[in-house]
Amino acid sequence: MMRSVEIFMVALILFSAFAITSYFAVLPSPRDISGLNLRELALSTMETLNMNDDLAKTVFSSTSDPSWGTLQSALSASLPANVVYNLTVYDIVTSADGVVTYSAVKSVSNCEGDLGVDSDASSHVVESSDVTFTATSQKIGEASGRNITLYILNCNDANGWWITGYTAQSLASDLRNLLSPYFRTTILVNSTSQLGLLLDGTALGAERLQDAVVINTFGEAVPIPAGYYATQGYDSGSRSYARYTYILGQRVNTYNWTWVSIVGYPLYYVTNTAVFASTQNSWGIYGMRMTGRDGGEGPAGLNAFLRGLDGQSYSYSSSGITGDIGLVQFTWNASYYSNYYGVYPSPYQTATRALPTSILNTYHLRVLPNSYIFQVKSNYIAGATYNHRDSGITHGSLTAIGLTRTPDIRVTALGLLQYFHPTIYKSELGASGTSRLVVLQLAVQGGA
Amino acid sequence: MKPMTRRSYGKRGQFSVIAALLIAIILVGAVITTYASIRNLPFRDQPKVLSSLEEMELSLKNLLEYAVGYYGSILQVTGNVTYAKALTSSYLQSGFVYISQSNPAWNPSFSVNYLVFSTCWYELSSYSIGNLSVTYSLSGLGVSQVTYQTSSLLKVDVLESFAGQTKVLVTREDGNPDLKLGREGFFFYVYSNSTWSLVNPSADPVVNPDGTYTLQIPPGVDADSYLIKVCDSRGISTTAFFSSSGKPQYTYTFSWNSALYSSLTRDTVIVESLQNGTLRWLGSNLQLSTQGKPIPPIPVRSLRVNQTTNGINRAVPFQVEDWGSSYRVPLGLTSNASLFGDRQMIVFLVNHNVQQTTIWWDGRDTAKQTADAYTNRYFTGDDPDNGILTNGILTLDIGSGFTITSSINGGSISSSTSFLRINNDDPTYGGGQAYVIVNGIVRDIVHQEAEWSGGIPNCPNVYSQLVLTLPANATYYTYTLRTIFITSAQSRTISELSPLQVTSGWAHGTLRSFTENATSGGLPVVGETLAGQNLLFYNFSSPSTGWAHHWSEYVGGTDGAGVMFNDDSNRKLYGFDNIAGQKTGAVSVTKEQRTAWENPNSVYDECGQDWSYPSSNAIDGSTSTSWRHSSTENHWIILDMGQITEISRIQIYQSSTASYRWGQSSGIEVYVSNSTGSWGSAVWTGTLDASGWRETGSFSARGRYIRLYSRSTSSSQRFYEVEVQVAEERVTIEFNPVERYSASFTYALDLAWHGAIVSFTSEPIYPTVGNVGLWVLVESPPVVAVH
Repeated sequence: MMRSVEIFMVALILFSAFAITSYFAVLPSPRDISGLNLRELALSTMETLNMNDDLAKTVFSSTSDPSWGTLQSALSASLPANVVYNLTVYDIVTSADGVVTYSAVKSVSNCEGDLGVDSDASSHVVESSDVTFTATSQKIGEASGRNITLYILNCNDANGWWITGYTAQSLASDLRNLLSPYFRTTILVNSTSQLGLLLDGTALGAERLQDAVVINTFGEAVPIPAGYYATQGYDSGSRSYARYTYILGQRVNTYNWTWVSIVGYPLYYVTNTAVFASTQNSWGIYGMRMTGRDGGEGPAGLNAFLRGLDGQSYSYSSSGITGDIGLVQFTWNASYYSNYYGVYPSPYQTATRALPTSILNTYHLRVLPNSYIFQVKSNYIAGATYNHRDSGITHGSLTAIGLTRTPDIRVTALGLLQYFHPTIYKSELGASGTSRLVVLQLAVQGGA
Repeated sequence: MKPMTRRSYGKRGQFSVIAALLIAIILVGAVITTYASIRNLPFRDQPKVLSSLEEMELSLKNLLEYAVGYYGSILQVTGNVTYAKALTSSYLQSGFVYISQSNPAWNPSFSVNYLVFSTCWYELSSYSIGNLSVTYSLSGLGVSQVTYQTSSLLKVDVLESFAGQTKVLVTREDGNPDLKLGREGFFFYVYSNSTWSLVNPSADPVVNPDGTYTLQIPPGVDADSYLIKVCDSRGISTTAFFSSSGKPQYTYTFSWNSALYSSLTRDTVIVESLQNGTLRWLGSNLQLSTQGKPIPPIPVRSLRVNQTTNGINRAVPFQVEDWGSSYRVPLGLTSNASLFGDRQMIVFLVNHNVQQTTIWWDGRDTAKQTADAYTNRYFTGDDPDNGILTNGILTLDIGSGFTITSSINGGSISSSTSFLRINNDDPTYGGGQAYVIVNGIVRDIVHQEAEWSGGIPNCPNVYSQLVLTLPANATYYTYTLRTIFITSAQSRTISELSPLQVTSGWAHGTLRSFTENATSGGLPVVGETLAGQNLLFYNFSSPSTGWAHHWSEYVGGTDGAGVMFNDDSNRKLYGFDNIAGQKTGAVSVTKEQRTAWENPNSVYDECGQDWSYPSSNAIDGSTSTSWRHSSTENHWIILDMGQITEISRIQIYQSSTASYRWGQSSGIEVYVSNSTGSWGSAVWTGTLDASGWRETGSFSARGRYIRLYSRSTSSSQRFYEVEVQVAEERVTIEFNPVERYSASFTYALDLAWHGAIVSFTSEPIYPTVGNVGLWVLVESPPVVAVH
């Protein structure tokens, strides 16, 4: 009897041990490790989705694009039935001081609310084709939210000077071909009356007048509209049109224009074939005259312009200020931007109409380091963009390229591009506007 | 014993229970411990680490792919590979930073072991590739020193082109085919209006499992040669080039008129190859027997030029030039970082021995510019500071008023050319010429603007432009003379428009002047302008009868110079005929004669000379020095004119002292000969026995040497100075679109005349015997087939 009891007890003990062991000898639930698998699952799902570039295409499409629906369908089809997801696309925005922020663009999910703490996620950066197989220029002003208009003077009632081999109209055509890809709006100003409208503050169409770039293709001459500008622009005291260039300087200040002189001595002549029908420039070209006294003293034009730009009172001065400094060489910046934009004028040019550095102080001008096209030589600047500064703010700019005669418009283009430096390709992975972060968060339905 | 046995049994039963308990405890303990470990030990985290490594390496792989695409995007803007690689490396580094910032908990760090970007584009088999080896650590996960290597390749092989279709093989790294491209992944380059645009095929491609795609070639694409760009889903692009030749090249096959060209030795001509496929020759387009081939936007550093000359193929010098305003304004040599575009032209030399010229390119991004594109072989003597350009054969001296004096090695007759005289008003050149290209590879270029102070009388509102080029190996320089008449509110009457005037200057002896005055059987019919004549060659200005004033020249012996211009410029010679309402355009040729007193070049020999009274005093230009020979004998002196000269009189300067006079009352004999060993009879004999300059009588003789013989044997006679009256001739050739009648107009007119100013010693524009000459360059240019 005793043996039976003992046997029973042994059996009971062993059974209990097995029972207890069985209770504890249970493998971790798949849910316990599901967080790990979810991360990998998210990663592999995004890889799959992007195999045909579909993910990249979708995340750069508009938020209402039908491809988002397709993406959602693809996600549902790719994931197990009990896995819920939330795919969020973030736009990567890099501020001027380099701080990166992520702003959600769009989110697609098959689950309402939070996926819970047991969810896991994988992220993936997608680059737009703008930084890969295409090189599309950012439009000038786009980065700062300003739509900068490019006006190219193409007046059919004006004549140019010091533009050997070209006419103003052929230069306008060349410049448009070269520069219009960098501007959202490019407008040819086809007559002096149209120029007059602009000076009056009236846009020629729907373009934005403020902050515009105005390229004068007439070389050393500047078109002058008839009427108000020819009348008010005439200084009867000095019998000159320096007052017109003074007004021009004022307008550049008011509208914050960048006035571009492509060659020679800026504003040396004024031109309008109707206003100066019987006046010539002393070289047989009618419709123009020197800006200064009695059809001479060409330097008066630039002096008055600078005073107007600087908000100084009008006064007549015919003092020549440019210098003949001979051979000049590109700055490092100009060489850099030659490569950046693929624009390669000769880095050595001849400057006979360079502006003195003294105008910086006299007229409150500033040249940013990246705005020098040529190295300063003997205190003269052969080519640069000058910002007129007033209370720390730029009010009008002058791009003056004091090279001799035959203009190479690539120098003009390079000068403007290096000043505005529109982006062709982003220099950093994750740079603003080119990269988006895709985060795919997964969770198992019902929790872990 | 039994109780003892029972107790023994009882003890064994207890022991069994205890043993069972122990077994149970051990079993339960072992299981609990084991499974607790399974549940709670770090082993559980292992899959998370592996997943992180996988995610990291995926990020690195993507980063490399983006970087390869980025590299390619830069190379579509610039040919500067160093710059592109620097930017791309910077981009890649920013990617590492970005990955680190995206996963701060992992605390990643990277060390690049090697990084290579490489492309080979614009070839039948093209690729873009990046190779990266990076060692990284994820200290946040306890992972360190993991080395990861990856590669990203997009390779495109254009296999064949047939029936408006192309077959393209697209593969990735490890040779795997890329089967996922749609029509939007393929771009054909279409050339129109000087611009390349990218066009997708109109239909989705047919793709085979081996990665070959069959694509429809879009309209506007030359099916014999085209560029196709492939962009894959990773953002990597590769541009391949197909040519029926199977090579990345265009070959120009020249067909020459062998009967006209075969014996020429100075027929080198510059060919300008423009972006749009046009080939220019002396300012006009060469006739193509096939469709022209636009030059792709390839890096200038990649370009090469080979020529097959007399069956031998070799690389040849060439230059790539920048031009503005639709190839009208020369701007200089092109930077080798540029991509070829509508502002560039490839310039090379040909002559009739050249059967083929091949423009080809090395599509690798590692390709350097060939030395043939920048080595100065021919223009080492250029001296622009002194206005001298020379190709070693012909030298141009650019003088004041932009007058070009050209002289050929060994030649005795130079030419001097002035430009753009309008209404008898010669221009001024205030700006000075621009030496756009000096020390060139195959040519130099000068650019100039003519101005007229105060304006041209009766002809306002005119701009002008001059472009001169000096080709290597040539005996000529070319000109492009452009007048831009803008719309004028003032009346404008041109009574004379002379874009160029070539003159021989006054030359000793006889010059013959020939001008083409018609053609017959493809050969020039020649008109000659005689002394004292001014002939106008204008009366052949009819398209129905041909254009027959392509050249004019002057020849003295075998030397000479002239001007020649192609058919297009020949037509433009008559560009004002319609405006004038008459045939006003003309080649004007004037031949003038005169006599002049000249000193001989040197004294060849004399009967003797006293110390301090050398015979050179006889020709030193001074009447106060003299040659003496204090010997009682007949004195004589032989003078060298330097060249064969027409001589009509001699004068010598005689002393006021009768006994010093040369010849005294006995007289003088004058001999003229081309040889100092054979004099023949005296051309003049007589006395010059009076003080001052005394002239012989007139005679007509031709020769280089003059022998003066004194019949006096006086030892006191002295010879102070001698001058020779020579006959000189001058020919002036003017190319005058407005010559015979005035032309009045006020509208805009932009005209350019092209041609060449030639100097020659043995190979003239047109010979005095036979018909082989350089005229064929303008009248019978080769026809070119392009493949």
